[in-house]
Amino acid sequence: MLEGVNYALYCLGLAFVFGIMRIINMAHGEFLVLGGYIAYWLLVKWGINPLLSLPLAAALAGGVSFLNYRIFLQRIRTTAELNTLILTFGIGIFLSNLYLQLWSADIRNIGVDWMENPLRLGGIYVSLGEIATFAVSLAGVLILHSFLRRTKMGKAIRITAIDRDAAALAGINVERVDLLAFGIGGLLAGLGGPLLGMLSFVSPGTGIAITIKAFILTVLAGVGSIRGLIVAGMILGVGEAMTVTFFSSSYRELFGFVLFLVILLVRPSGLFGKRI
Amino acid sequence: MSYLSFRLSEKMTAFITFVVVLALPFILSFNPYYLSIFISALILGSVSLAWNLLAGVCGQVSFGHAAFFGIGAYASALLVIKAGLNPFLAMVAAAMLGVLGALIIGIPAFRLRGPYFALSILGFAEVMKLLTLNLTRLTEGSKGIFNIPSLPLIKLWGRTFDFYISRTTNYYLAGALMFAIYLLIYFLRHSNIGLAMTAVRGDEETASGIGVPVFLTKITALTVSAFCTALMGAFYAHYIHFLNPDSAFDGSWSVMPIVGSLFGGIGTLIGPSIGALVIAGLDEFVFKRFFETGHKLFFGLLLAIVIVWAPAGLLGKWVKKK
Amino acid sequence: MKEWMLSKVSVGLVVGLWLGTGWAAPAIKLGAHAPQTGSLAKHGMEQIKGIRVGTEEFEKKQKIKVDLRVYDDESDPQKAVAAVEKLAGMDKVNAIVGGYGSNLVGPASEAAERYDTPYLTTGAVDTKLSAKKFKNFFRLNYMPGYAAAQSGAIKELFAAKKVGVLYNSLSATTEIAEVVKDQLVKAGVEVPVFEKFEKGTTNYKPILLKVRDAGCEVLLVEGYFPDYVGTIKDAKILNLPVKVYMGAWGIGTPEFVRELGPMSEYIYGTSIWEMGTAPKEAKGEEAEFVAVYTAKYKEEPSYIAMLGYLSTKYMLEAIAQGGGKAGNYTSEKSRAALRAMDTVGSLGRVAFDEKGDPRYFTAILFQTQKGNQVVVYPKDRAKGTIQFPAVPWGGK
Repeated sequence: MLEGVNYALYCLGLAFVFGIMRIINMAHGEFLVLGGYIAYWLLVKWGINPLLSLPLAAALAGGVSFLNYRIFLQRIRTTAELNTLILTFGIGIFLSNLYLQLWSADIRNIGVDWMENPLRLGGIYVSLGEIATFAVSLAGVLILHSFLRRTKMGKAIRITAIDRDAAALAGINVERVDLLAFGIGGLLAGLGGPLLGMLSFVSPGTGIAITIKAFILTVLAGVGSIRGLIVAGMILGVGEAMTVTFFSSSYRELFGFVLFLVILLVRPSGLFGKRI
Repeated sequence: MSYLSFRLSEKMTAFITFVVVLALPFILSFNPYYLSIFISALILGSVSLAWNLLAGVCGQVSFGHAAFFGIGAYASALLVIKAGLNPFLAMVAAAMLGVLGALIIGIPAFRLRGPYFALSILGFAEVMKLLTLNLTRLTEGSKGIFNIPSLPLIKLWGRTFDFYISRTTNYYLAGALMFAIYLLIYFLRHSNIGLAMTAVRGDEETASGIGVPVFLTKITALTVSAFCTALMGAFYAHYIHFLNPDSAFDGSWSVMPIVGSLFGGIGTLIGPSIGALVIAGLDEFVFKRFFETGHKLFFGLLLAIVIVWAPAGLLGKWVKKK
Repeated sequence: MKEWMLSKVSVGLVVGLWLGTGWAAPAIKLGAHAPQTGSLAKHGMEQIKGIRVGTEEFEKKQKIKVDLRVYDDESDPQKAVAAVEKLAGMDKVNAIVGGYGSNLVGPASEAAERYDTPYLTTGAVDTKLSAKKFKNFFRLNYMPGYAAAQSGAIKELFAAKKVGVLYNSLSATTEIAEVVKDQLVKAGVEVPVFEKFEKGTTNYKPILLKVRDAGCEVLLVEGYFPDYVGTIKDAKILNLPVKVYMGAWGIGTPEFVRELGPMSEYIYGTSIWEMGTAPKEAKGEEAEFVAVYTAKYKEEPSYIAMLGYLSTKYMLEAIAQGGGKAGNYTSEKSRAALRAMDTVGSLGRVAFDEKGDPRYFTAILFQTQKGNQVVVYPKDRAKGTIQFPAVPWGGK
């Protein structure tokens, strides 16, 4: 269940970019994984505790994302939606193979001893690590929420999302907003990486799996609602756990997809989103 | 170049392509190793053509063609092994099952717009892979199916064509399949349905406004595309004689047709297969020489670069929306 | 003047070369294919390293030149077939070694059969691979050997009555799980929990709870490194009350001990070979291989490398023996020599049956004690005694 909030964080970046810019970033998972690798190497080479390296990992991922946008995406913003989809797809493939090249196919787990310690809360068994990641995820979500509501930049982003032309008329530099939004998307992804690495592991193949899950959640929750994402994340988390308990572990992944297909077909705008 | 001469040159290009395919074994002295490489390229070329019908001609991008490929592969293998069907018949039957799969996901998914559609096919591919992994009684799950019988001997014109040993026979069959698929797509494109598909690609609302049965058109494109892809999947099963969910539903079968089509020219009819043939050749004979590991990198990069700077590919014209 | 010098020198060179090299027989052409890229790259590369050491050692000892060709099959079945066709069809090698992963070895060995070229692999344990009874197919290790180590130990060392088996849905782990279950049930041991999990699972608590609720004494996890990490972590959180945690491959490696630290204590695993586990008769061979390998690659060999080395050694020896001084290396003679082989190496006793499977292959079981792998089963290879009951998280 705690995983639910984590899931929400992992896909926040994707949902954010999609909501603001209508771009589905197929490489989202790869940025998450990048954050994870950064935290891993910081830990292994210099012994930096992953919780501390979080901001750095996030920032780096955000930076790469920003550059990515600048170099590639901006140019084809005006062409068909599907072009951007294919572009991000290609970038995703490039990145995951790059990781394979640079850091080998080995699976990396970011393990810090004290995180393993178990706690019993009532009848539930959790580890300190799970609590810590939960806290970080929650914090991340809340911070984003207040950024969007309170700060000037945040408001500019939201206005652009609702109506680009009106925003431009109001004097907002729409291009700048796009750049920023995409960078933030990458930052959010990068934030999730170290957390994933701590809870389980990262490897070159993890990226696409995350992107798919993130997309499922985005669809489930509906565009434009952060609250929706958390709820959706929880639904997914609980659903998966129940599938394992009642059926068998191998059907766990199936749950997510079946849910995805059902929602897509029955209520494409998601549980909380605005109608498409 | 005027419209008319463009058309002519496309037919010429197609003609030249198939002549090259026909002649290649002679040029390569029937060397089995080279033939193997090009058989893979032909399989990819055929799937690229099929993908392009849906994406380039009809405008519906799919990220999950591996679903149909895998369905075709498993269906054919199982039909032969468990039901004792003749492999040639099994291939066709498997292709029909691919159509069934297309209908199952297509009818609901076509209610969605472009990107959603692309991703729902991706989701469908993953579901198929998971199902194949889990229905072990039927599919042997992750252990895989071994020793799939190859296509039986054909006795024609006084000669025996064997598919188990000879690479040449398999090569020509793959080539023939690709040719058949091309013809199918060609005639489809030049029929009323083809026009309808182009209209749908342009703008769905307008198309619907002028009386095009949008939904039916899209479904037709999808089912034909799935049929061809599944057919090649079945061929693959009988050619490699071994299947497991990972290789049958491998992401490559979804990605490479996209790369091939983009590279060769989305929207043209022969472009995708040329693109696929070229990159398969490039990969084996060029990239691997320079980058022993990590040559897959290039495909991602290639995709990104092509779509940003040369969306028309080697040959094509891609009509921009908006 | 110069010409005279040149001709003298060249004659001298030729004579010198001819005398100096003194090859005992004509050169052998050996082919190898393995994944150097793609998902199995890590394992394929290890294999090739061992194969290279094997060829070099053979050249030195037997004084026969070996022309080794290595091709990358990219973890792709089609490319594996292409690689064999290149090796057997174009390069006309005398035999092929390598191959990792049943889905690559299957098609590849079939191609080798078409070219009537002996194929000795160490990378594919699925029993179905030898079902077709290809006369050219040989392998050093296969599934029943691993399972026997596990079930044997459970029965004889722990005398357990109930075993919970969790297995990764991938093919090798599924197969060993099924074979072990079979062996256990036949020996009268109950397996109340037999749960499959997907590759990439992160939360094992639900299935571990099933193990606890069924009262199992032994937890057997057929998986890979990430699965062990995950299950051990979750077992610790649940404080799972089992007496034994046993895994399959990949336990007790330096990486394993490093990543898990104190949580690696008491864990059992199977292995084909780890440093120091060779039987008495092969200690010399083992030491030599390790020394040469470490000097060449600046790291210790893994069991995959050892397997690559041994397969190369046996294959080359068989070819040389079959061909004799004249170097008449035919597939038929090489195969006959392989079939006649019955020797004891670092793996134990090696001989092949008519299907090409290894007659005497058993894995060894070891327990991680103080960061070291102590072989505890089978009795005749055991170096230490078990610490039982014990699990790294305390258990009770």
